[in-house]
Amino acid sequence: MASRFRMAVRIQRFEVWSCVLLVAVVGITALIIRARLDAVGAPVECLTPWIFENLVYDAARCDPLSEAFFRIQRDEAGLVMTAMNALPLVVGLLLGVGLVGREIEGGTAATVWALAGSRRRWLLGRLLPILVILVAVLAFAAVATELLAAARVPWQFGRPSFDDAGLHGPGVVARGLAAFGLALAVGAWSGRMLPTILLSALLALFLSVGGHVLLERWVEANAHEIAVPSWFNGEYDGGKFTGQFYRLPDGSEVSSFDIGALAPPGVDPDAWVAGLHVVAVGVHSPDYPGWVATEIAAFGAFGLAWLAATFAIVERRRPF
Amino acid sequence: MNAPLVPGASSGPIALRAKGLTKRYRRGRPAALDGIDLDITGGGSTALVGPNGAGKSTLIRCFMGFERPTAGFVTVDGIDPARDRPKALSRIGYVGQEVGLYPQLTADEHLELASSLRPRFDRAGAVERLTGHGISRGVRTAELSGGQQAQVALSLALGTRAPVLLLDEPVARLDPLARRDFLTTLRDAVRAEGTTVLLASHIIGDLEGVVDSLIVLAPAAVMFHGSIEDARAGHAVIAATSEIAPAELVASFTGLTGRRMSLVRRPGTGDASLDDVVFGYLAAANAARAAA
Repeated sequence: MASRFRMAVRIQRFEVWSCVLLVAVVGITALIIRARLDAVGAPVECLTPWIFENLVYDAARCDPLSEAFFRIQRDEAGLVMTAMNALPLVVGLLLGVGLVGREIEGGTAATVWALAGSRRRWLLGRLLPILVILVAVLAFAAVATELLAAARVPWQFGRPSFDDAGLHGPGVVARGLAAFGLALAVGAWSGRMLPTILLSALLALFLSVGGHVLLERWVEANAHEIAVPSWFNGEYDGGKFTGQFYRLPDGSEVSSFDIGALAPPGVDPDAWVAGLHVVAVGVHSPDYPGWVATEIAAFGAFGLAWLAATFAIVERRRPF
Repeated sequence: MNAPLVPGASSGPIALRAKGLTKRYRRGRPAALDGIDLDITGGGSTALVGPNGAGKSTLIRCFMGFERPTAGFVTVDGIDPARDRPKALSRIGYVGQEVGLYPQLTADEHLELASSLRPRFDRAGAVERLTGHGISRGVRTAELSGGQQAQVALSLALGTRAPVLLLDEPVARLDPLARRDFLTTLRDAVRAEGTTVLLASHIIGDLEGVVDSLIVLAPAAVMFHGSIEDARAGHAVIAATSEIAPAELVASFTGLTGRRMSLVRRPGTGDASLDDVVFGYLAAANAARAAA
């Protein structure tokens, strides 16, 4: 088994090292940026004074700290999170595209399939080591970005936020697995590298868009009324909102567009609206684990389905 | 003019069998193999010769389970690869047209890979064979010459110690010296082990002294199958103007000198070269196709 692991890595060493390097750069950068955010030492009441309405905002102390924090949070951490949109997909594609596709194109499939006898056994031996590497490198990226994501929203006090949903945590591994399975199956089917790269990249793009659509659909499906004392509190509860309205004392619900017109005559409309109960609809921090479970299940099942398809393709196709 | 098949002369257990084997890659297109019947007895070396498109590779790929027959079946030591490919492949060592080596791996790593895929792979024997040819086992195969790469591929196939070796034009791209080395290694190894060899090749001149029998495959059909001895001593080439009994004539063709020649069957008295025999049977196939 150790020998097969070693050989699988040797055969794909360019892809393996590229992935390790890529993930190391992104992951270590994430950890450095997290350390930089922590080093700013900005207290939460400086960063979000609107949450702590009763606190006195000490501008002289807070402004330099919050400016430094948000510059790193937006420019540097934002860049890492943007990269995380692509990283799991790139790693999955890199490792998956050539695993079977290049064997067929390079003529080695005939040699190893003849030697192995059972193609299923061969594929398993080739697949498992690369799968272990995929999970290991993406797990590192997942943990590093999870730490960064938590540091980006210190006002959540460790509670998860939907702000960077899909860009950190175990969902990263699941997304990588989905792209890997996809590229693997396309490679096994086409048996040619260039068409596999182009087609897999295109499908991975759809996969990425599919991730956003899945999140939107999940939020819509799981949206519920969230009691928040103010707009700002709602926004900074790590939530994702589908709607907000005012609830009048008689129980009726009115949108923010219509509420101004309902102010009683002779009353300051702004003061009257400020006194109404705000209702937010959507998902918030406590719902986040549900999203993560859905994300893992959806992308994991997608990846596993393509892996299973690859076994069927390899079993049936010619090695040429 | 007729082109009867000459049945395989040798007797003994059948190592490779094709029965009514037809392979058509696409519906409506000519068959690559059309109702082939073939028995190759165990323990000998057989050359499979024929022009491009004759179906040599297709036949070998059917034995390998790489192609599924459209009709009929093949067996390897009695096992149908279409039904139980892993078991059939456990009886086969294979070298393809492409050497099929990983350019980034060394010869040693190829042996390690083969050992991990075939539990009983004879690594020591393969090492000895490569060392005997002066091949550096620690060098990436991309840096080896074409002849050395072919030797590595052959060592992988021989290392399996499989009772059947299928070689699909492995020497086509080699220079004469490398071809001779390859075929000599093959001959010595299989003689020692009693392996059954089916060797597809274009280069007829190299085959004498290496194989015991010959199959001439014209597009989609077996034109001749017999021992090398039968092929040579059983045929003669004479001027086409001579009087030839219809039953004797295989085919007439234009020789290299521009003279019209005929290949005739003269059991026991002939002196044809293998080139003549192959050429005559291919001419017979062409004539039959033209007549059809």
